Amino acid sequence: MPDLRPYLVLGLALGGVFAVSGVGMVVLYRATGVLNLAYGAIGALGSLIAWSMINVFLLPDWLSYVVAVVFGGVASLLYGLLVGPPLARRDPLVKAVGTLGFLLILLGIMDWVWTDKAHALILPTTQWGFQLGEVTVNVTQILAVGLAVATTAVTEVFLRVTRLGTAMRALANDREITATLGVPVRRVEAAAWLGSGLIAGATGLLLSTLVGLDAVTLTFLVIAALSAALVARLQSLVVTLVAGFVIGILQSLVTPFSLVSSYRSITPFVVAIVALLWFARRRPVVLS
Amino acid sequence: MGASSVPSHLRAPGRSPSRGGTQSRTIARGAGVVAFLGLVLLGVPALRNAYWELVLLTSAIYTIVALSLALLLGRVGMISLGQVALLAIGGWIALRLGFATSMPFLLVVLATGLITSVLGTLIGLPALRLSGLHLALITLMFAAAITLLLEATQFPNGGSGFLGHSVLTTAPSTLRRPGFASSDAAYYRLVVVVTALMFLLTIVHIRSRPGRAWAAIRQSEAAALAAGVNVTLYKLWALALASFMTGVAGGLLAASGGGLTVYQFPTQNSIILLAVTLMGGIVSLWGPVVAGLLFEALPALLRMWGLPSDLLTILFGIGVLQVQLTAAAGLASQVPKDLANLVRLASTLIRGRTGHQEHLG
Amino acid sequence: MVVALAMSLGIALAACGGNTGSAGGATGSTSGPISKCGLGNGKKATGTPIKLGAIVTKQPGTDFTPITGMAQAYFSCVNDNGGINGRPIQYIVDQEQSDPQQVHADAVDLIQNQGILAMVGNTSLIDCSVNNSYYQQQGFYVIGASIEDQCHTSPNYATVNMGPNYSTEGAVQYVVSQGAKKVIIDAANVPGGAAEVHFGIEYAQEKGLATHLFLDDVPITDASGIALRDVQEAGPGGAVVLNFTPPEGLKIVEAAEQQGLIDRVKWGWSTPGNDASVAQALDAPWNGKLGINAELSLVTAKGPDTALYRQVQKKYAPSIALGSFSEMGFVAAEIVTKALLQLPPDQLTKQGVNTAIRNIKNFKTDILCKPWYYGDLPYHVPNNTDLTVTPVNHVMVQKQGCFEIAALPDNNLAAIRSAEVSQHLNTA
Repeated sequence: MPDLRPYLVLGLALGGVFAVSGVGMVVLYRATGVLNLAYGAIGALGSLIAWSMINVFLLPDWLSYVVAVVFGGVASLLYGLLVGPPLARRDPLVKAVGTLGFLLILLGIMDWVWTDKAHALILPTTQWGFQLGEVTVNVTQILAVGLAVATTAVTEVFLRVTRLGTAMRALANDREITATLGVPVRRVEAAAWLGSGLIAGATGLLLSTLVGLDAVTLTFLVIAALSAALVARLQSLVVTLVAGFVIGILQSLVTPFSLVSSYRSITPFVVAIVALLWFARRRPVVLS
Repeated sequence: MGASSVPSHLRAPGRSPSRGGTQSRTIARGAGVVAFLGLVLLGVPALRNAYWELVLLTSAIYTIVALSLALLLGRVGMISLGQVALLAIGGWIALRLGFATSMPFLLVVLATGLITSVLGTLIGLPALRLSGLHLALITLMFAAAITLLLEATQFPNGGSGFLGHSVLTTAPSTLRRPGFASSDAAYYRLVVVVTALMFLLTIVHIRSRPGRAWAAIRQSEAAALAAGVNVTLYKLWALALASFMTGVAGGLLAASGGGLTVYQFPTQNSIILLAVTLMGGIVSLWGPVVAGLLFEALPALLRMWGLPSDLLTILFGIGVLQVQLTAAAGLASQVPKDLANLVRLASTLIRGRTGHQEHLG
Repeated sequence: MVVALAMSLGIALAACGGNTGSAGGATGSTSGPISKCGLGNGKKATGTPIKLGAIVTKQPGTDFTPITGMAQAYFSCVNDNGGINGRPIQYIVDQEQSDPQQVHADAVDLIQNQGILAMVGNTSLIDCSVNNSYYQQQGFYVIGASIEDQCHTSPNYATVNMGPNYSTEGAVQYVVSQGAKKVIIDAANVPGGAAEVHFGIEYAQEKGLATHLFLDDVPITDASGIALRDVQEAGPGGAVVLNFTPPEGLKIVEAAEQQGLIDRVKWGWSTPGNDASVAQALDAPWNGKLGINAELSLVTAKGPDTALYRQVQKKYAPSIALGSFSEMGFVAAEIVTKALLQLPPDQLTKQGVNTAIRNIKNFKTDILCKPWYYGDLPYHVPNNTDLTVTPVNHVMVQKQGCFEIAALPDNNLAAIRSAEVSQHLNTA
């Protein structure tokens, strides 16, 4: 039986990756009803832009990171402003398929401009770390965990306490009634898109460091992160957070067992499928 | 017709009730299909270009997969992002049968279709309760999981054991082509014929009881249930048919070129397949033909012209957005309408001019 | 004891043949420390292009385009220096993503539609197995820089490198020579991934050592976990040998540095590790600790061909990293250029060119340990003598001079070496 403790720690770091992406997506879904499957692609494109700024145009690192985060917000906001209103009344599937179109556009741009060449973007926070048993944990991993927890906490408070937050919760309940109550629906939705996009940009930077700056990997990592959101039924931020960590730990714990090690990456998808089936078990028929 | 609950891009266009008009239109349509088949079967091999024969036969294979998706989405209202994964499974089964038995090629393909059909139905059974976004998500998860599973198990290549994969060789995983269709041109013709048969199978279903049941389910599941339609049975039937066709396509793919690798079935392809199927159109039966060409032939064309194929990814993304925003019926329905409009416009202009001349004369 | 004998034999052979640091063995150059591109006359080539083709893998986690990119750079240099007796070379490269249909269609397109005269620089995960019978049918003798075992068991394929199977064996030979007690091989899970490292496993097992093989998907996303798992499995006194492309392998070795795992085991890497990007990325803790099997010379070596290689890279392909990969493309291009230059104009046909390729013998270059050859053999492993390099202070330096890759019962090297001697294919 191999020593599992270091894998527990590594799993928390991996779980932070899932948690931070999952939370970002659930935040947007609760306010707009849109499951933004292009979430990872937005972050990836922001990171690639930062990479070019640092390596090609030789601009200062901190500026490039800021641009990456801001780009995430702007790209997300633009999509929300252009595609959000026309699709506002359609069902969630149509909105999600729309984001798949957005994903393809972003992926095409990334492949075209940056091609498949290997790029690396390592945040400076990776240099600092400390020993936790046998494993060295670096500050970037802690940032990922921290960002996930902070986003969850801040968003929960925001949604409950502030006017804008209450408006977002109302929107998630019923868009039509909320509009008749005089809530500036479009502005609230725009705020949700912007906020979610900023988190996507920050997530992209963290993931580039923790997982690698590869357009396809980062874009489709969102599917694995979705499993955490699905366990939370796309509703509870806290459950998304916890589920993200649990899934990350589960996947990491599989690594040292050579019999199943090659299958470890399937963990999040199995969890997602089980969650979807479990939550549907009492539903007899679909009412469109 | 009470269809505000059905997304408009899933609604079938209305049919005109006039008898005579329908008959002449059917004959015209039939003639068009025969002409197209003739062009495809005879015209392409006559060009003697092996490269394009390979590209177009792969295009036809993906047309079958697009047809299965269009069937599920357009006729029954069930979205599936897992058809590419099923294609991979079909390819795996065909290879395993090919290495383990000495069944003739056509029998292997048929058996693959049947086994994939059973598997697809079993896998889809628990997911029947899901619809819309959740169905899309679970099929996407399935697609991603299968891709990863295949990376671990690889495709059979003549090795022993259940997985049939020997790590000691880098020999490709190919299925033997049948003796009567071993050349590229002959195999191309075989693939086209099988594709046409799949369309025939689909048409037969649509025109009879399953088709009517599916139409009722697509409009409103609750209403169909109330009307006495066995919703579960017909949904499973649709799944079985779609999986059968995709399995057949997998068998054809296994013998089409240098073999199968997991790299041909990335998760990205599931999304691109959805994009091209929506763009081609999920209602008209020409839609999947357009989808197959978009998926395989257009990238080959771009490569020939030295253009990056990433432009296509962007184009497909825009296409998906356009279909969602305008609830368009897809290129296959739109282009004939546009052409018809053009023809009408031209004939009005011509008639106007001759009328003028008569007046003068 | 046996290893020491083999190594001294290798060194003796190296003294006989050309190797790094020797000033001889230039191709067609008159004097001075740097070779010339082709005719070297500074005149731009005009006239009907001579078409050559290549198929190369480029997909996430596996990018071999530095090889064809560098070959293109050499051809551009040749075209600026008189071309092939006045005619420029047009190099058509098809990038593929391990889709066998596409790879086969590419070969058909290049040979039948584009009318290439030869395939040079092919580096693909599946080209050899998918297209081997097609090349035989078309009478093409491919000069590649390839990967699969099929490339080394075909009469129609000869490579300037050894391929991961022999190169990993060389890396294992190194770590065993350093006293490893258990050998872990960690390779990329690509088509044929396990098959392409089994000589290394065989060699270690022949020496009576325990072995284990891990296959990891690329692009790698959990480098820390992988590094930890490898080191734990190797145990104290064990060795970890990697078979990954430079950016992917870097993830693992950098994670090992971060986790403080470097000194717990011995480390080896097959030839992709011999890359400027790897040397630059590794810090002082790695100095001298990573034994990389180099199938071609150090990029900093003083030989005339290596000097020309650096010059061509600087002028024509500055974005391609100096390292094993680009050296392979360079050498392949040199070899075919020399063969083309020796042909009379009426022999510049598919048949003429491929016959000339098949007859190549004793192609001397300081980039390779021993002269290169094609020959009329049922299989080809012309480059079967290598060296070991290691990163020290951000630069690769030589750790072990040219040594022969050990012959194993099923790796054909014994038969190939006796054919080399009897047919005078690469005599010193």
